[in-house]
Amino acid sequence: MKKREILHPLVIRICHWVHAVCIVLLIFTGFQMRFTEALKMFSFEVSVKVHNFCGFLVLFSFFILGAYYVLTGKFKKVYLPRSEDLKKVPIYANYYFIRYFFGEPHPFTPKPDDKFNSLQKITYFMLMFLLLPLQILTGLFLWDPLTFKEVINFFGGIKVIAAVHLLLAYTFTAFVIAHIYLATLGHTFFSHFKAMILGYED
Amino acid sequence: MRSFFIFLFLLCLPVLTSALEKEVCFECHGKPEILSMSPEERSQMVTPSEKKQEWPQGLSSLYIDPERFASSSHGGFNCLDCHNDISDVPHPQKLGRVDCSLCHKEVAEAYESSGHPALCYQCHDPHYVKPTLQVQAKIRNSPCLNCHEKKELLSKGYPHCKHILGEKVSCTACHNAEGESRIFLFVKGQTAEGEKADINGDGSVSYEEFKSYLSKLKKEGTKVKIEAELLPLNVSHSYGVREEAKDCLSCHSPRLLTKRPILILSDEGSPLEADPSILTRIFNFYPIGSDRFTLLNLKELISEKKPEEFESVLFKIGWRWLDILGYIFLIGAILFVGLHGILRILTLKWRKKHEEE
Repeated sequence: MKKREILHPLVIRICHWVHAVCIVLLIFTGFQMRFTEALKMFSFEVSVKVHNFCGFLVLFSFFILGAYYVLTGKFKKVYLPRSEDLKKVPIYANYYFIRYFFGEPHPFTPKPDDKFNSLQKITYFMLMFLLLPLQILTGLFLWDPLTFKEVINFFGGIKVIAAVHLLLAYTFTAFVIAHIYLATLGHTFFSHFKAMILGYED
Repeated sequence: MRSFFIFLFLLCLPVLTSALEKEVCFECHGKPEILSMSPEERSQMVTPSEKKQEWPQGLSSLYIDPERFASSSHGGFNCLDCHNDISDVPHPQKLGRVDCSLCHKEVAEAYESSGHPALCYQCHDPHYVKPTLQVQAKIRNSPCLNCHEKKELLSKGYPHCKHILGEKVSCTACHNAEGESRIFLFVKGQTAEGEKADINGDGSVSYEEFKSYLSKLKKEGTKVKIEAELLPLNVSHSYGVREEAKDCLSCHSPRLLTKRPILILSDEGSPLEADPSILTRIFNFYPIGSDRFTLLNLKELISEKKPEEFESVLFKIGWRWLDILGYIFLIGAILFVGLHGILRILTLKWRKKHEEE
């Protein structure tokens, strides 16, 4: 029997699903807080509590994920985009927008040490290692503005911090919508989902 | 009628006790040395007392700073107006407890209903009390926090930890059954004599008035410091939680901008009500959700045809551009998923055929 290659190690799968549940809850509770009169999903108090809890869980999970990639030395290979990745973007964009509809095979085969294509690499690097830390930090400042008063004032005040947090929240919401849809574009409708649960694709 | 008699009594008090002015009392109690004297030395300054009753220790000390006393709310009174069991000096060693309810009857009744065991002077130092509206949260909360310790507040959950321990909200902003809470803006900085924030004297400060007041302060080189806090307008000593305070959204929503903030200016006599728009336009303070882009804004923007008016509508949008950009992101994502999904369904047979080949 052929040995299945593990694309996503257990620790990464756990971090992914913790992020998935928490980010969806953060989006819902965050919008509930902002659109208080229009939305009636949770009370303000519940929204704040769930939002804070999930925020800290994402912070914790982010450190685990980051530590895994840095300590195993996989960060550079898996996430860090190189100049040739930029050049390859049109190939993958062309596949997703045109060639896919002609039933052509995916131009990239994921391997455990190189599991993202150039488009994914650039997107995930930006999201996971630039935007997510920024969102976690701004969230942390908004969680306790008095403790972080000096830093908040240094960056232009609480309104600037809240603006960055809100804009990133919209970015992550748009990403989640696209990400869930794109996850269905695997070999079969559920193959990517299965890989993120079991660790390997058929 | 009762109020009339209290008024009459207060009016007559200075006459009744004029024989012993406070300066006489300050001969001993206005000097800090009294604190370093031994009990024996002090006992020689008073007449032996027959009263044996001991009262709980309060915040007051034997030394009263005459200047601080003079600037307090009680500064206009004579010592004997309250310490009415003194008729001459030296006075008896043991004195009776001052009955604050003689003047503060309603407060005393409300406080009794709260079930708190402490006596008035255990929470307030009657010699240094200030008009309530000029006292900031940290000082207002200190009597409560003397008994209700940090650990207890933490065990009571989120609102207590964030609001009270942050020192920007007073306990009585919520524990105030009959009152109303507002944002208080303490503006610290000296102005030129006669400079007023309420220029037209209508008792309220508009956005324009406050803006010009601040620019005058800055022109004079004054370093202006502004502290915003959530405090009650009137304090009820029954401490029941106000119905409105149970709803977080009474403050954490655009609703907060419907309440007029209170300005406390260091050199202006009484507190002034201000236009709520100064919170957003001057302090850049937006209660959560108050700067979101709504359908109404969109209609306003679309229906405006005159270019110069359009600009003013655009100005009004302010921070709402964040939502506009956010909606574009979301619509973009939904459109991508929708269009890609439709094409995917439409090309299903085509793709299968190609895959088989």
